[in-house]
Amino acid sequence: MDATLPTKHDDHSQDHGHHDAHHGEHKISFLHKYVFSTDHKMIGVQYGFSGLLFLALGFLLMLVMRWSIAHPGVPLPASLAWIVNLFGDDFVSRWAPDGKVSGSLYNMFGAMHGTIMVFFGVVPLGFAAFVNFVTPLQVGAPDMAFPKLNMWSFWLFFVSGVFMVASFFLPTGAAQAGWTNYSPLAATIQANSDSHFWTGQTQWLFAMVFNISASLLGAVNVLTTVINLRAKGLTWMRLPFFTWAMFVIAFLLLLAFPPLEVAALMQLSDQMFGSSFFLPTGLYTKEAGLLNVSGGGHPVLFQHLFWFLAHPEVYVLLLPAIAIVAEVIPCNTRKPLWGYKSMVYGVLTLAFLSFIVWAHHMYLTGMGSVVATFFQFTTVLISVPSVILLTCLMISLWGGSIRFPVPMLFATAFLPMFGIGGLTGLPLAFTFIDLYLHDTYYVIAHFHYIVAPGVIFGLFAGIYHWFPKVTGRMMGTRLGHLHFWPSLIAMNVLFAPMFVQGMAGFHRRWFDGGKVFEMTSHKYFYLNEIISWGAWGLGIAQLPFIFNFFYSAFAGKKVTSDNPWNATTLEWNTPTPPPHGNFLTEQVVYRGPYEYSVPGADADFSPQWEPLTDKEKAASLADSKSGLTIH
Amino acid sequence: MEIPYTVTARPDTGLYNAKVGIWLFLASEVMLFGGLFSSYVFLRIGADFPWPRHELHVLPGFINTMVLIVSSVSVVAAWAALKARRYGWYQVNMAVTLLCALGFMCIKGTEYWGKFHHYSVILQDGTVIDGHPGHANESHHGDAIAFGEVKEISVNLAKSTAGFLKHRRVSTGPDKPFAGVPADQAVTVHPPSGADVMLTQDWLKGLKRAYRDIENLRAEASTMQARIDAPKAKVDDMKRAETGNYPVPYDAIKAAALLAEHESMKASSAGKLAQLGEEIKKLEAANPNAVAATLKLQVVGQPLTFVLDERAFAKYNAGELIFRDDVVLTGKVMGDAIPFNADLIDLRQVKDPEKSLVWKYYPQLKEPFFEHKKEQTKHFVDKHPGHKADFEASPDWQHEALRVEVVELLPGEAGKALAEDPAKAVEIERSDKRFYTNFSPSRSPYYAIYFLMTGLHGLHVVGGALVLGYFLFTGRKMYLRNPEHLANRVEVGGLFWHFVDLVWIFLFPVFYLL
Amino acid sequence: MDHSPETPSADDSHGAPIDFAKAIRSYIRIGLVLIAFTGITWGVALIDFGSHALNIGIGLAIATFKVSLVSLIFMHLNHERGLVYKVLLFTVIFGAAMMFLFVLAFMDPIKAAVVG
Repeated sequence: MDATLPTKHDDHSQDHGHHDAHHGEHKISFLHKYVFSTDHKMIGVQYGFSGLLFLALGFLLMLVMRWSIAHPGVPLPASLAWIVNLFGDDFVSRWAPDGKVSGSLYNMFGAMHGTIMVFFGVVPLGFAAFVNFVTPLQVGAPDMAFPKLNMWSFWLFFVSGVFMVASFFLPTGAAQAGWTNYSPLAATIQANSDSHFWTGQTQWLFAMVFNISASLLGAVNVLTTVINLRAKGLTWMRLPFFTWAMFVIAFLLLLAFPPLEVAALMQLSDQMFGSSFFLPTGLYTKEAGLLNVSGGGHPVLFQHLFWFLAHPEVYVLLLPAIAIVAEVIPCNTRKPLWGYKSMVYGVLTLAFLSFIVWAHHMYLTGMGSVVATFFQFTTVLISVPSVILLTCLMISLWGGSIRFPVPMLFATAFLPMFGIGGLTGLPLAFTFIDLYLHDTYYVIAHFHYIVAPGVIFGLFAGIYHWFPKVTGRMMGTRLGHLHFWPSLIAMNVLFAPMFVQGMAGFHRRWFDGGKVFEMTSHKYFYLNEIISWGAWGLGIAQLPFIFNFFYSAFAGKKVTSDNPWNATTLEWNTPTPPPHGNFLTEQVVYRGPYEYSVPGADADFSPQWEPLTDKEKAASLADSKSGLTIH
Repeated sequence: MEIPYTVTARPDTGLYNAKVGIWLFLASEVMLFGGLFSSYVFLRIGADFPWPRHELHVLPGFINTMVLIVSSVSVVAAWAALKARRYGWYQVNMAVTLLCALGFMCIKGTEYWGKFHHYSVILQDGTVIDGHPGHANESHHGDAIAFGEVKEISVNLAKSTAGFLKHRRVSTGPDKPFAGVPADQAVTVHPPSGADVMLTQDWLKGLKRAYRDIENLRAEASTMQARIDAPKAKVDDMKRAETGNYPVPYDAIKAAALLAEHESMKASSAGKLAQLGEEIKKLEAANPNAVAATLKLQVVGQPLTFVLDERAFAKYNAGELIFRDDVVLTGKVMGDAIPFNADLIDLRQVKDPEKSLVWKYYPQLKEPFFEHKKEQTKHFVDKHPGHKADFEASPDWQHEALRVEVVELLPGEAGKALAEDPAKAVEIERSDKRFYTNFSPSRSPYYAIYFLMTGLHGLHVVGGALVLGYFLFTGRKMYLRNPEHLANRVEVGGLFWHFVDLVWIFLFPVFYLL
Repeated sequence: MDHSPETPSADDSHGAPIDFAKAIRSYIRIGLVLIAFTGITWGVALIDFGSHALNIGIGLAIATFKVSLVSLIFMHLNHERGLVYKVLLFTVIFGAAMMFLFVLAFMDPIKAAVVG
């Protein structure tokens, strides 16, 4: 890559370790350095690892589901059966004794695929890992504001992950009521179990309560760090967009997660103490007859509480990717981010609106038409800031001397992929179209275009981009290309046909791919197999990445500079990898975050830590409105 | 580099780190309790049952409000004392705060205790009877049913455990007909094959393991068979598709290839299949009791008696009782009535109070009840002349006229005895009952959200007290090193404590008064 | 920080010196007002205003008044700077949105007008 380009500042990569008398003196034990670490960078790496592992697990569950859809009733081939065998003999004899994917197994994997991907894969990787590693560096802080709390946050998350995965091994299996866990299905599906505590549904709720607590601790920490630990001269409008976006996400988590915690506690009470928060009067199931509960509750209340979280959560998934892309693009086009201020105001507006659009997930609940109209209006409105963000990123490409290292490949691919995902969401905003498309593959395609080729590509860009800072080594370019191109093709083979199926009325929860509705849907059956080919292809395309990741971490090409991409933000001004305490000296910021190719400057980038030249000082005096005044 | 602003405030925000942190945390707490309050509103507006009003005793709530206000004053005084560098005053005030927290939790605990020991029976027609289970005998009270003369037990080797045995009771005499049996006193049963054995978890576990091994081998064989048959099935599909609603031409070449594949797979797997069959046969011969999932066991000696809570099993009829894990007891129902002492009758949800099921059990209260109703109606119409025509629709009238305590209907000793004396308990038939519960979250969504919100608030009180107690008992060292740091900590802890008080200020009127 | 070990000085450079007695007196006064209003809440709840909605409104109004006393005086919101207010403002907006939209979604004025 461009690591060999001449750099114009000191090279710290050789001398770290002696930098900081205070922290360097005492040796930290292995346990404290790698396991119960309070260092934001190690915690970021821990989150990143767990996030990637969970992403892999969620992906494997999906492969089993795709087999059942494409080849209903056919036993799993050995190339996929190992995934189910991973869970042990007991699990197999309970759920797939004949090697076929049963409806219950499909439901379980479906619910857990969604839960794991959203709450245990993308958020920990996209938000927690990147925010922990990068944000304190970008604001010039020695660590997070509350390092111990940060450690607690990770370990709470870890416990929640253990609960969630362990629930597979219970006699009832894991949760089976979809990732949204709607009551009353969630409350009744495993009610016939001896223990109300050791059921997948209850453990799901427990895990979520832990997960939410972890997120809240993390969010408080990030916000405090950005508010109170910014370096000297780093005013709000000099914050890199990445940090702005992470700041906004932390706010979303802080304010949107508690209502889900409420919902989880209420559902927990329904299951453990027999209350009827979400169980209406006269609820009847085939197995249990008239349920032995008081009734009088409201299933719709759960949906309100759930989506009050889960819509902002969509932006919690998406914004890290935009944040990363907004760093990668200016760095590789060698020109400033176009419309930095519009993007900041855009992301703030987006966050605000995201709190008042939730009920567009609930048009089918029969809520009042006036309120439905209100939510249609806000939903359409929220597309405006999203488009502002995307447009700014696209215009940023215009006229740049673009270089294409692997992170830039992913970042540029993110733009059209996210565009497709976002724009196909617009029709769903309208009640009369949503009534038809609700719960079809169209919806699946829409949000997967956002979270899979969109968000996950953004996250890959981030991994390739910051990898040299984390490990001191570059990731291999050739393997990167081998990862990127097949992934791009496979993603589109995987998700594009779903739009067609969705409009043909394919329901998202058909475990047999719609075989029972053969009469009406047979014309689109062949797409089931094509989509599954996409899924197999996507799986194979990740192998080069996995190899590259581990190989480069230990034997990749060493970076020769602390700023291998010649970027401008503060995280590139630390030794590589950054030591405990991060910076050798207190950081002072003199300029905006994206000063690339400043006219008259010596190099094509002017880092934030570089004092203004005499010429620039003169210019800033001449134009007092330029905002370059130093505090 | 050190983390800055841990003690001093950052000039531009005017806050030190912990204070930023606590305010952000409180913001999320506002959303947490906000979510609970909005759920309360939602449940109340959407309730299809009369929302309880003034059902909780106000006095304990009132005292608790005062206790929390006092603790709020003392915690802020503790902070002020630290600011003024008066450590003694700080200790006194902090101790007062902690005592208040303890007092609050004790009062809360007694309230909960009373609720958990108060019961409701809701009858099939919507009649609600509140009161206490009549303790005719100790082990068979409330909602339990007695199922006796069990001579045969059928277990499902795929699911069952011997957990049902813990409900076994023996008869000890007319006063206490049922008493628990020690766990080690196992039951002897006669299995279909072999000698009599003790029915223990270990014995069952061994059988289950054998059954699972056999089943796994069978599954392996059937999977193999299915794989062999798959190409043939595909040919059958193709044949069917030829004549279906959407005909697909039959591809003879492909079919021939598939059939050939089927034959070759059949040939190559024959050996393995035969071997599997042998293994299955061997295992079956070694474990004759584990061949099929259902295993019928005859009880040797005295027939067994079980006393069970209704939630402990799946269903029952006169001769069979079925547990959730598919254990089936064959025997006889010995008693399933609910002995009950009523202290309150609520007919608000009954279509026709005249025909309520409650009069079957309390005929002597019928006349006083309608007398009382007439009186209350007159009283109500006098007070609200506007409601003369539609008073029956008013929740206030319903509350006053249709819900009445037994002692009001039958004053003096007679009423009290009806409500408290187990000898005067009525036996409510199980077929009349729709729902039986104590005043716990399961009673109704009102009690569910009451317990959830006050419980969560109580957890906040305990958490806050632990943190403040930590500051009190370990603060000295920090005070001597850097008093401002301790003052900051106490301020932050105090902010949380005030928030807890603030939540209660809303909880008190919402649950106790409005 | 190097204070003399046993008696930390009151005129610490960080904390503004504080008139302890005066502060305590004002806190106690506020506490008494809060207790008085708790009593008033109970009393008012027993009065029949003709409509229970009015009872609810009055009860909540008093509670809100008490809460604002606690947050302004005890929690020092009265001399806090803008940042805290901004955070709380957004929290209150979203909390209120949650409360009202849940309820509104429950009701259907158009259907009510048509079906009755």
